[in-house]
Amino acid sequence: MKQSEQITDSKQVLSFVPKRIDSSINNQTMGNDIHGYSWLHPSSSLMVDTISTARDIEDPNIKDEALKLLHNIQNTLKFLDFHSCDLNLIPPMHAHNNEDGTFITELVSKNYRIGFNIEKENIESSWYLVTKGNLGEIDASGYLAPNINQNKLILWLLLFPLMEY
Amino acid sequence: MPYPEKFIKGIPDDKCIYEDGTIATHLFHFHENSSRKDDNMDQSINWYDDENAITHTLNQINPHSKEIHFKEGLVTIVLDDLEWLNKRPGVNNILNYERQPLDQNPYHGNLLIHKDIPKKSMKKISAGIALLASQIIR
Repeated sequence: MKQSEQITDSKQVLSFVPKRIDSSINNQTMGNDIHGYSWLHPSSSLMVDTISTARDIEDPNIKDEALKLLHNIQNTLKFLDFHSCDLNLIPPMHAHNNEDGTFITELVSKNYRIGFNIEKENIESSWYLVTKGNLGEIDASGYLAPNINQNKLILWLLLFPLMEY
Repeated sequence: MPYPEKFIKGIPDDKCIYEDGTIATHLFHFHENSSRKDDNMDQSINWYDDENAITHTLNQINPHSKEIHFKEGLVTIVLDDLEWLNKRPGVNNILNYERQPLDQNPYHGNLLIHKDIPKKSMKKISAGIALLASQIIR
């Protein structure tokens, strides 16, 4: 048994990485929906530390907004993975609880950073995408206001690392 | 006194470094400073005026804790790179800098930004500065 696998009492082997259905194999069956192992989904490894940091936020409003944001990010990662995007192209995600009680999470690459800031006043919460010269010196930011469709925004931002290659 | 080619940003603790060794953007956040008499927020830096600046920064003592101030080392940033960042349309020359030598630290200075700038812009610019940082020096 590989280190990335788990064996149940009924001797069913579960993979730590959801396997895709191979259309070339007739009558291939899966033990569950391919995203049924969401806690073992590749997106979890990208986000486990950020979720842990968000759970330590003291202000309940900021904590609530941060966890909602991270939930939306995780759903977007699952969506991208479902559509065969290589999540290995997305850089590690980090998070920090600032001394003033606010929260920041960012994806950090050598040539760009994508970040999200959760502020005490929700209307001030924001996102950014900044890049070095070799990627066009992009210098973008905006708000995570309540009327913003976070899922669309996050998808647009997470496509950037995938397009960079 | 003209400005040198680079400036130094000390790293006070491991919360400013992510697990993979990259510098966190919040190290470069600007803060309001009640002792300032202008309309700027600032963040402390040291100017890389000479070869002693690195050693001096690594040996700096925090006046409150009496311990080494920058426990996790420092990074350097080329001033021309900061100027180039400053020229971007989204930054639009709102960054500035100054010398502010102190009794125990002749290299001290500040990066400056107007305090009325929206938080989202300040934090975006901080991320842009973090992208310019060198490898960590310890």
